[in-house]
Amino acid sequence: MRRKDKVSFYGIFIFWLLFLQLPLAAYVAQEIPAAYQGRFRPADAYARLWLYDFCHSQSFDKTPALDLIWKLHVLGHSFLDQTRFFWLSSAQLKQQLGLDPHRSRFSYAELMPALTNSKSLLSKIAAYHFLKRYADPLNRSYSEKLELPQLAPGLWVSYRGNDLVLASSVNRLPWNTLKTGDILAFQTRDSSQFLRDHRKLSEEFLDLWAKLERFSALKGSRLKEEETYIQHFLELKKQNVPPKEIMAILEREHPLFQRLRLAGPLLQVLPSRHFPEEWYSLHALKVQLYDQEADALVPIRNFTKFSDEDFEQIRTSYMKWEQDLLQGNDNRTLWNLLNEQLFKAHQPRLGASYLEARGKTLTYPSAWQLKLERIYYQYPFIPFILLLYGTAAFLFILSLNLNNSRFHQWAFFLICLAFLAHTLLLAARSYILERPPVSNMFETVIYVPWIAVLCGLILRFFFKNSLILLAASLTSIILLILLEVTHLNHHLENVQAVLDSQFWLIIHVLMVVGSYGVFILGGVLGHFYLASFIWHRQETSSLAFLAKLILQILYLGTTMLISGTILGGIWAAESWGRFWDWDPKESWAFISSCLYLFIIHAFRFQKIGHFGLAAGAILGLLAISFTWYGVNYILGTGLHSYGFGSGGELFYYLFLIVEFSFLLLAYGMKKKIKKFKLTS
Amino acid sequence: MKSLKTLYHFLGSIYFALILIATAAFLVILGTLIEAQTDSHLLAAQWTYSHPFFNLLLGLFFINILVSALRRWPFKVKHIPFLITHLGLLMILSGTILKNFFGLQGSMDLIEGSASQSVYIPHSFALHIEKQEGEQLTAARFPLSMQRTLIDLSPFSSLQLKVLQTFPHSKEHLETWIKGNYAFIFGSLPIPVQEWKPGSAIQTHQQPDLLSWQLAAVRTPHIEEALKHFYIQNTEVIAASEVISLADALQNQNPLFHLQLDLSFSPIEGLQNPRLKVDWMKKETIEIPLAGSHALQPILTTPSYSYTPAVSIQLNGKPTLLILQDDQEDNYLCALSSQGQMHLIPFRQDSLQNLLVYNQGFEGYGVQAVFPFGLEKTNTEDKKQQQLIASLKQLLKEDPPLAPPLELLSQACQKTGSDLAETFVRFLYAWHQSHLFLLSPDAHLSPSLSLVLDHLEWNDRWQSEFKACQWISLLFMPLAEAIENGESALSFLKNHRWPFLDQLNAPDPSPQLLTALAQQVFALSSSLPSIDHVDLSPSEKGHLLSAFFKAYGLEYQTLASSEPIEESKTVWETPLTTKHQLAIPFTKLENNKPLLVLEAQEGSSKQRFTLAYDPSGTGLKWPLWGLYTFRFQPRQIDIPYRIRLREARQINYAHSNQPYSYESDIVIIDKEGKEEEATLSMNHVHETWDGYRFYLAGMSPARENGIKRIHVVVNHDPAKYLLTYPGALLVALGAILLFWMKPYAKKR
Repeated sequence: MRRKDKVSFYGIFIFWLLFLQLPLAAYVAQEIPAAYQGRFRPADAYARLWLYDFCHSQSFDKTPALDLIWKLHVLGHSFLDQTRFFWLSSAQLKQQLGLDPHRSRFSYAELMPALTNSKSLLSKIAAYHFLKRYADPLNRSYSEKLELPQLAPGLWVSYRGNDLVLASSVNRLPWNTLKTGDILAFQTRDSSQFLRDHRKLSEEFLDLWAKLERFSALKGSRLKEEETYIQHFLELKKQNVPPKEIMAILEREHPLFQRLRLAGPLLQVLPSRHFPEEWYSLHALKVQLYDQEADALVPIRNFTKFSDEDFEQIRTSYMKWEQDLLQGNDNRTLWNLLNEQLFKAHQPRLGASYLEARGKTLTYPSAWQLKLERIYYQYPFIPFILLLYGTAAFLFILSLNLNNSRFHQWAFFLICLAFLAHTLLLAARSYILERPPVSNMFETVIYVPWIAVLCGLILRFFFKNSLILLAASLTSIILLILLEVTHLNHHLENVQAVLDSQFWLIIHVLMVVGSYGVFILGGVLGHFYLASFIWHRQETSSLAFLAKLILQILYLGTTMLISGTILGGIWAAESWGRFWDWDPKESWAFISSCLYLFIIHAFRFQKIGHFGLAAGAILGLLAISFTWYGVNYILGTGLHSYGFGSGGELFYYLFLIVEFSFLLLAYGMKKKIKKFKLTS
Repeated sequence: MKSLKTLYHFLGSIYFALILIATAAFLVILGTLIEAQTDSHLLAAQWTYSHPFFNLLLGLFFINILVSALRRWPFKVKHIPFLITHLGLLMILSGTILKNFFGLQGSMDLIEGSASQSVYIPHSFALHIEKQEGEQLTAARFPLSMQRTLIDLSPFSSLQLKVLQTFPHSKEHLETWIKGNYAFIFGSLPIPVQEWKPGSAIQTHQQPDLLSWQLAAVRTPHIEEALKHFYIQNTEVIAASEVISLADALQNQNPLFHLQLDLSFSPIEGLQNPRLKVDWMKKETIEIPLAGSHALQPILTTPSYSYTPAVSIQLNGKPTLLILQDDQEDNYLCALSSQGQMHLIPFRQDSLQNLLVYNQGFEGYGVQAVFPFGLEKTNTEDKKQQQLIASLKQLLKEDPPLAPPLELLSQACQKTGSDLAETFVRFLYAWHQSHLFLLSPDAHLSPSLSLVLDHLEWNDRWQSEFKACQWISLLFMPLAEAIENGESALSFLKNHRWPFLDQLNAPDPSPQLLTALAQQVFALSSSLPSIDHVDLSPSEKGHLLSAFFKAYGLEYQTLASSEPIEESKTVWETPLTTKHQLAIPFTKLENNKPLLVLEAQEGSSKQRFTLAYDPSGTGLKWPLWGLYTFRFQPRQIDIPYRIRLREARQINYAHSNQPYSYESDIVIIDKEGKEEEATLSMNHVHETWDGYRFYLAGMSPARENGIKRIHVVVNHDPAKYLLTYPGALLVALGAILLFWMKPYAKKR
């Protein structure tokens, strides 16, 4: 076999493995959709997400997530109470709760008493929420006594002098620790400092408490609501209440839909017949209903969208399976049968619409979307793409140094392959979520390097130089590594209502965010230029070529950024009622545009040369990094708050310092050379 | 001339362009930093984007671009991309300037069902004034700058208004009953407010106009203690026809009864089931609720053979109104009735009970407190009987089949011509008042009742019942004696070998046990020997009749409804006023509530007053001389459309609180009264034919129920389609040509 054939053989093999094998595996899998946090997801992905919420990992103790969910569903939370199940990273919260600061996993049995007894922490949280509402301009009455329903309805806090006291206590965990008259905080008339100091703590606390509450709600197969229902029925029966009245009383006191909703928080896989957006837990199959004619409780009739036949089959197998499991016998054959029945019952509705709003509809996922989503969660795609880009970059460096065309061929092949995988990843996200992949930080961080590589490949086509591909793969590597280490939320979630809209918004975001990719590529090339300049102490011919490349990239990026920003203005004018409002994101897009216009004008009118252009590309990169990261994470205000977060400021400042030192070093070198030339 | 030419070239030069670009970028960076530091967009805008210097910068940009283009005259083909781009920029700039002068950008707040046709400009200042002359109402709005000025008030020529002082931020407190050191009630002189500490007495004030109501006003952080003290100070207890003050009764260890006042207060819930607990001879405990719909109706909390306590406890109060203020300046009104009933009404800063508007606000505003009792000492028992008689009469109208004892009574009534319902109730009440198991055979009855009872005829038809009643009477007399001596009914029956003990399905002690026993005697009576009797007196007949009723479970307490009795009302009223307090302004300017000090003069009358800013212009208008009303609010502009909000809704994603869509149905009514319906949603705007656009910008509250309030942005931009959008298109097109059109690029 000739070498070229070999390359193509391996290439085809890898391609086959990656892009044909996976779909095939998916095709065989039978995915049941389950409702979870606003979306209908494949059961497997749902289980992984659920577990990730609690213990920051997609499997627990080597048990696959889905198995654990089924177990929790039937047995309740008690078997996990002593296990270190909860992931808690906040040092401040751990300290407040008196927990071991070196551990990051805690058990329910540790957390629950720690939280419900921490009077000082609860006082701080209540004081924080009081001050937050007190400072809120919507609190027009300036009442010094406020209810805090977001913590617990009936919890009132008031000022007493300059101190905060609990005005009315509630009988509800964990707030029942605080008693009426307890002083929550001293001397808090200057609320801004207190609010700044406690914002994060409060968020972390509420997050943890919400998880504990969700965990506490896992009662297993015992349904409290059902038990009270049956008890009430027996009482009425004992009192010889006529059937018609029993019917009325029971329905009034225990509405059926309420009981179905409260049947269980896990495995909500049964679509309601009456409310298309509501799905019920498998426990709802055990709900009983009073029958007037029989004057007795009978199992509920089909309340799902399934056919009656399917419903009965599912109920029978589920009851049998649950009974077996409660007796300690995990009957996999029955479980498989149940899954198959559920899968079959779901088929007719997949892909159908279920919720209509003005100008848009929501649909159930299609069978293929479910399969793809499962695969998305199952395999570590980003490390794989990262590996491909890494190898490609390594081979590019080798080929440039050794001038070896074989390495170069391989490198080119790998970068194409990586780009293909990258494209498929983005396409998969778009296909599953039915929207372009640019509406949160995670998505933009995959989209930007994709644009950089795309731009690199296009420029490679025009300029026949592989340096740009090296720069593109480096851009991708840097950003994808950032993505891996920062643990951004990579889950497939719904888009915010504002962003779920028109064509023009999509174009605006794709263009503006795309320009970031182009500019980063330009910035990397700028580094090449300056580094090479420092190394060679003069401008070589390849450096002149590099400058030409940088100029083209700046042209492309600036066109995209300015047109994209103006399109954003038009979109804002059409849907928010204003063209431009000096929102921080807009302002920084303006600043970046100004900077690039400055550089381009200065270069076109020969005020700066190639060196200045390269340095300008780096400065522009810094401006772009601030527009992208800084506005969201450092400024943290404004209307473009779709991906706000916090963390990493220190690293960012370090990055700025390093970049400026590099620029200064290069500038110093240039000055020295000029002086040397003049003197010689 | 030369210097002019140099200037011309400089204005169109690349240097000038670079300086402008750099300055603009620098200013904007500054703006974002200010905004991040203070969290105030308004403050940042004041110092940068809205600063005159920034507008000057925009003007210079305009000149620079224009001159740089003119300098290239005469134009050649190679200039085309440059010209397109820069023409686009000029168009965008002029579009922006035109909109600032001729466009409209404002807000509208609508509540479901409400309508509006004026748009307010957020964070602007204006004074809304209304004048009432006879039937005629004139309204006008005057833009304000926050400097001290005399305002020109053209429609109200006789009024002169001067802004004496302005303050950046203030707090507005609503004052109701207590204002400063006096409490105010319509129809009374101001009452001095007493700073009350636990242990001291509450001073009451008598006022001639208010009949015999006493008034008191206290300011204290210890509301609960004050209420307790107030109640004890003004109440007496009548127990076993002995009158003692409540204070003594609580302290003295009376051998007969022991009292305990259970009164707890929460600033949120108000009085929490206040009650007086009476421990009578350590045998019975009685709870008397002091407030609420069942106030003063004693509840027996220990089990007994009777429905009612053996002792009658009554309360006697001095009718008093107490006005309280706590340290958050929330007011509470507590009234005490002549029978010792309490009622508390809170008036908190954020939730007034009600609002009275006098003459559309020209005469001011007020609040009202309504108490469910009056001064008169009504007999609740009497009313209860009246209610019972009335409802029975209603029932008897339809001639229903009567229970045997009632039938017997009705026969007697027919003979005497008395009313059955009334006789029945009076009889039961006489029995109830005797506190005995059966009506005493020698009870003193009213003549009318005696007359009816005298006509009771236990003829042949009633022989077996008559015998049964006699036996019941025979059994109950020793039983009552035994119970009086502390023996339980069951043990008495056991000792006397009562044969049907197992069938007595009622707890011991309970009134039901006695009924069950009477029923057993009834069932047995046919096999019992008959008892001789002489002529019976009316009260003896009544005694036997009560045994008959007992067997049928018909007693006063089982019939008398526990429905609250309609009582008279007392209404108090006080004017609603505001108190303004200067506060340290926030760095976030948007949150500040500026304060105006104004001086008004008309003819010889002159007055100073303060007004706090009302950010949405929907609050109360404050009166002056009964002639004018004022409101300090944002500038408002009327648009030629009237917008009514029908319904607003938030649609969430399945199984989450994350919103999927915000929508609101509105009706747009134009000047001719033509209606048009539209649905606004996020990113779906409604535009009228003449370019008014309505955007849904906000919705609250987020929860599903509750009346929704929406925030609509209204915009009218005459230059948009002419200048701004085409300009944007030209810039984008020009940039592409500029960067990649060959002839131009070749030059380098």
